[in-house]
Amino acid sequence: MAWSTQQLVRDASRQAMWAVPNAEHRPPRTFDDPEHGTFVPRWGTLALLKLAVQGRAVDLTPVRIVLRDVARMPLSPEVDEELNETLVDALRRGDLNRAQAVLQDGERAPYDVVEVHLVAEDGARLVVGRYGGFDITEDEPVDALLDAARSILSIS
Amino acid sequence: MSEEVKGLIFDAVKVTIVAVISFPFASWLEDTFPDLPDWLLFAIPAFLIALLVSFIWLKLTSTAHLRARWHQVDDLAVERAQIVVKLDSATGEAETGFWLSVHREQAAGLGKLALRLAVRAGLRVRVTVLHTSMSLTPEHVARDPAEDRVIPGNDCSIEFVLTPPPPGMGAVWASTRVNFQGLTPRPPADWTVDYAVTSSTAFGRLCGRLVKVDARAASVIENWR
Repeated sequence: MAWSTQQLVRDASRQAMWAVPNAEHRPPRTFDDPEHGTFVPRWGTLALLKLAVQGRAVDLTPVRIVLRDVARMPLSPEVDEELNETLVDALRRGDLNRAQAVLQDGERAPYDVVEVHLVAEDGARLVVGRYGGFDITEDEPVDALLDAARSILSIS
Repeated sequence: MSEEVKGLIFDAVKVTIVAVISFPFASWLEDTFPDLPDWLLFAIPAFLIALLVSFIWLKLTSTAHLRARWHQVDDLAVERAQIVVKLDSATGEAETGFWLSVHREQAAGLGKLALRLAVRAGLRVRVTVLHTSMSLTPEHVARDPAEDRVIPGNDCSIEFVLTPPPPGMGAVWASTRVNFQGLTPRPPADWTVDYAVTSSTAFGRLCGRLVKVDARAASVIENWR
């Protein structure tokens, strides 16, 4: 399975969003270009959760959420598995309130979302990170991702 | 025009109003109490009218106050007067996040009315860390996350959209957990935090002139490790 790395960018007034290749795996923020009025989306936990919810409308199903704890460290496998089960279920049902509540509850809470793993109908996989960087196994679902991303442009 | 000059002009206007209104009252006092000394004929109405004018002026020019508060996520008990952001030089990520909240504080007279009207016209509170290359991301929004209440800026800023009804005095109106992200490692730097009200409508901006945002936290320290 060949992965390609790309980056979502938007205009300064949040009217348009598009994808650009990122073969060099540059950090997302290096795509900010104030002179030309292009910026990467400022996606944190809430935006990534919303993106996962919006993905359902374009047949992108959330399958895994990568989390960090209050100290920005990875979670233990047990806690991660337990949280993911509840979180993915809430996101597939479109229940943002429940998803947010899950991330506030726990010994090392609050938890941050750093990546959302999505699967397209044809089995293509996408891994979308904070600030709109993403890896993808095929190019077909990029349009679907853009549709979902454009639906949250106002908070990007 | 500087604030001092404005204040001077407003004081002159107030004195003029007091003088103009005092004269008819002085005549009435002279007719009613002919034995009063001359200086009292002017002093009594001038004092009473000055008191009245000052009271009305206070009501007309009073501002509504909002307060922005910062709390470190792992220590919610303490409101931060200085925000220290420790950044990982490998990833640019901050070691700890913060809760940033906007509270309603006192509002009276025209300021109270202006606040209500401004909120209906789409009042926003913008918190900006000036001149830094860091950025801010909203992580978790208190109240209903389905509403787009918190909007990240192109610079290092966050905008809160205040929605009616106003909460009680001192209560949280809008809040979010935020994380900083650094761009390039650099020596420690101290950045000023700016708090402002804004609106997408001209009427909202006009009413917003009587709404002030106070905060204890005046600066953010960018500290790379």
